[in-house]
Amino acid sequence: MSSTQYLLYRSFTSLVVLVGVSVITFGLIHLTPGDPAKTILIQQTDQPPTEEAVEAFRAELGLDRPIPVQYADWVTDVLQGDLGSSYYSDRAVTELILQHLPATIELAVAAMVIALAIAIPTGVLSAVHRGEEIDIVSQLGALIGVSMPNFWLGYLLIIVFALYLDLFPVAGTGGLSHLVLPAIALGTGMAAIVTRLVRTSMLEVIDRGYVDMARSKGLDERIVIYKHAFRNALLPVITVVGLQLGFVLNGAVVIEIVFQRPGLGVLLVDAIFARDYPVVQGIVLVIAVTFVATNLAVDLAYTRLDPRIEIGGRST
Amino acid sequence: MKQNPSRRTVLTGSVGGGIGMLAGCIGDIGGNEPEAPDGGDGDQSFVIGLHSDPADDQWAVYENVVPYFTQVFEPLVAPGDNLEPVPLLASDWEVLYETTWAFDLRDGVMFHDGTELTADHVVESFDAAFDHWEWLPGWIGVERDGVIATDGSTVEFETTEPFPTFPGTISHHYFGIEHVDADEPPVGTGPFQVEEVDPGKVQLVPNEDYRDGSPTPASLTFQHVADPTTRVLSLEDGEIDVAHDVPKEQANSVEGRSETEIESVLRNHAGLAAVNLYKEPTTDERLRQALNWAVDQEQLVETVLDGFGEPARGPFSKQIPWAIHDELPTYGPDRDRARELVAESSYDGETLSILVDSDDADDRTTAEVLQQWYDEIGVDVEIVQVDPAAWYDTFTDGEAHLTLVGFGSNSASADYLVRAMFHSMGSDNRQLYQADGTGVYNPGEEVDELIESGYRAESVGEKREYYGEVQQLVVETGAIVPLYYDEYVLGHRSEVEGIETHTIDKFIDWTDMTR
Repeated sequence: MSSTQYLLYRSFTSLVVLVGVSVITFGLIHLTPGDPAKTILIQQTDQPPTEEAVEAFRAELGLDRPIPVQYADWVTDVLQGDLGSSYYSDRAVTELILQHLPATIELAVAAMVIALAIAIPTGVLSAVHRGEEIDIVSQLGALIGVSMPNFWLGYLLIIVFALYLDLFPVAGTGGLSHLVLPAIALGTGMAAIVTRLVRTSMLEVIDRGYVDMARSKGLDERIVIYKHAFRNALLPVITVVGLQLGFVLNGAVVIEIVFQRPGLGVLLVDAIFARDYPVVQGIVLVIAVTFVATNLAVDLAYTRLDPRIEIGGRST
Repeated sequence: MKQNPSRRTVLTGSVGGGIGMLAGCIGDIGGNEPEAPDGGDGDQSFVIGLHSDPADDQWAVYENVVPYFTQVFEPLVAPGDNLEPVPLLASDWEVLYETTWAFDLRDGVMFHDGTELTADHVVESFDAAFDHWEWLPGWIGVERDGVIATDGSTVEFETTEPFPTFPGTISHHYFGIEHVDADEPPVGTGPFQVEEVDPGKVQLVPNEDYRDGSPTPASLTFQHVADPTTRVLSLEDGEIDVAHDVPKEQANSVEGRSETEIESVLRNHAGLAAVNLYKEPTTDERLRQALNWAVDQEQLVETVLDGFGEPARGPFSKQIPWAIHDELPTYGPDRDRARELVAESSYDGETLSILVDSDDADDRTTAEVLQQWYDEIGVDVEIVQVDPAAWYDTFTDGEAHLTLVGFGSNSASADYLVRAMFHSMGSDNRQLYQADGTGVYNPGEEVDELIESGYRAESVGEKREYYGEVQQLVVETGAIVPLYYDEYVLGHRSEVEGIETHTIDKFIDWTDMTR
């Protein structure tokens, strides 16, 4: 299969995935109990709504139409680049997503950078010094990192670094100083997972013949480790880091609430609780596109990182 | 030839970028914290942390400035200290015919931009609200064309049916008057005017020409801090001066610090368990009464609400003028009596369900406490948690035996609460009543008639008579299990003074706040 054929094939399967995601999301959210009209009116007025107001609101939102008609209308609009308007605020979903996306991307990138900056050296050191104190400490650290709920770590970081040491603001946005604590809180769990993976991956290659060969040639140990062992241990790490995007987005929901960051996670949770269908559909579609694109990018990156792998499934 | 980046380049770039980013973060520390108040003795600028977004998109009609708390827009009528409707932008009002209300405007009221308030402005403001929220007529009983300026200072409202509580109903923040055609909206008549609106934040400055004098604060910033723990930590750190809605379990800790204090106020909001009168086995009055005898409201307030509330006897807060708390009977607690009633009833070991909103931590704990007490009287209970959006539908579908509900009013009219809760055509019961003649906790025709009489009554005394009888009936027949009258908790820095609280928290007055 040529590169072009492979890309066409992946584009087609991606489209099928996106259609499937949209049908499942639309079906699930409509099957879930909870009338958006009542929910939003209670939220807006902070009191039980009158039936007349509920009926008028349902008609205004078009919720009195059959569900398949609502879905067909939504798909038609999406194909024309229109994700609809929020039931709650009447603002365009695209506008809402674009307003909230930067804060989430900022947080996700910062968390991933922190996670990798911790995980790669720690994982390598842990593998190289297998069974020694440094390995035990790093394994213990990874276990704590995986086990610790990120919202709890968030509060802990606020208490220590904002309240007692006064180094960072408690919450909010406005500068890079506002990003440090949420990024650490979100990145720690991922760092723990990647540390363990790097260690395992390194242990698999560190005793291979070509590594011994490099040593026997008298190369510096650092060159042996980082040039000959680590580069070959990197492939599974890249795969998992790509898939960790989901982990980061999940964690971002909680972290955005704790640190009062106006990101996509908060928008999605609020929309689900308000049964704001167009916003939920729009965000899920954006997330699905991001996942599909990331997976494709990871697959394509394999060929760059390991010349033995060719796109289309053949390898040498 | 185009060169692909080597793996070394990619790796080095990633690590270098990360280090650079972190260095950037550290270099920025303390350099960009616009929300942090100065906190000095002379600084009269304040930051107020709210659980809700003060710049919520839903309020586009007010340019996203939420009228709750902010005192930018004023309605014609306000809820007074005793929740009676009192004049605000209107000087007085009268019923001309059964369905026609005439409101005279106060003289010399000026908008923030210097324009004098006229009846036309009121009509335009209502029209804008009707355009934005097409469901409003169903709430206030006035159609889109039912608001008329009869002269420069009189506005008439035509209601679709006789509506004695109309003035109280429009004392809600939804009906704050704004200058719709102002050059630089939003423009209201309140003691504060808008300086800047950003996502999650509204900055206000005093209206120096306010008719009661310029407010003391030099500026007010309302900041959205959704997470309650983060709100408390921000208060402790001094990033905010006032924290609205401090979680009750953290209130004593806030009070215990030298730099922070709390104030708590009894709201017009009551918590109760609605008992399904039409689902076996809670159809049996003896079982419902047993469920009441088992409950210790005082202990509930002390344990679940950390003392921030009052034990309830009825379904409506003592703060509501026609609530008859003092005249209502108390059940107990007397679990021996409860056990006797269970034995006498038709209860045969069925599992009763308690429905709670999963987002309400107090309700979750309350349900666990009730479960323990009911277990002591031999009644098996399961707790069913559903998310906030599904909760109301699950409740009105009559799926649970008991549902923990908590309702209050944000205006000077709480009549709709009685109707919503206990009338067969009220929003809580209507669905099942229309489907099969039942409902959830609507006792029936006698109560329906009392509610309708109370709804038509024009004096508080008369309402008290009718609604009082409703309260007696729902308590005596065990249609509800009264639990508590709720308090809200406000945290503030110790040096902050002059916050004038109100029974309805959204009407807190910041005009005399100082430090």
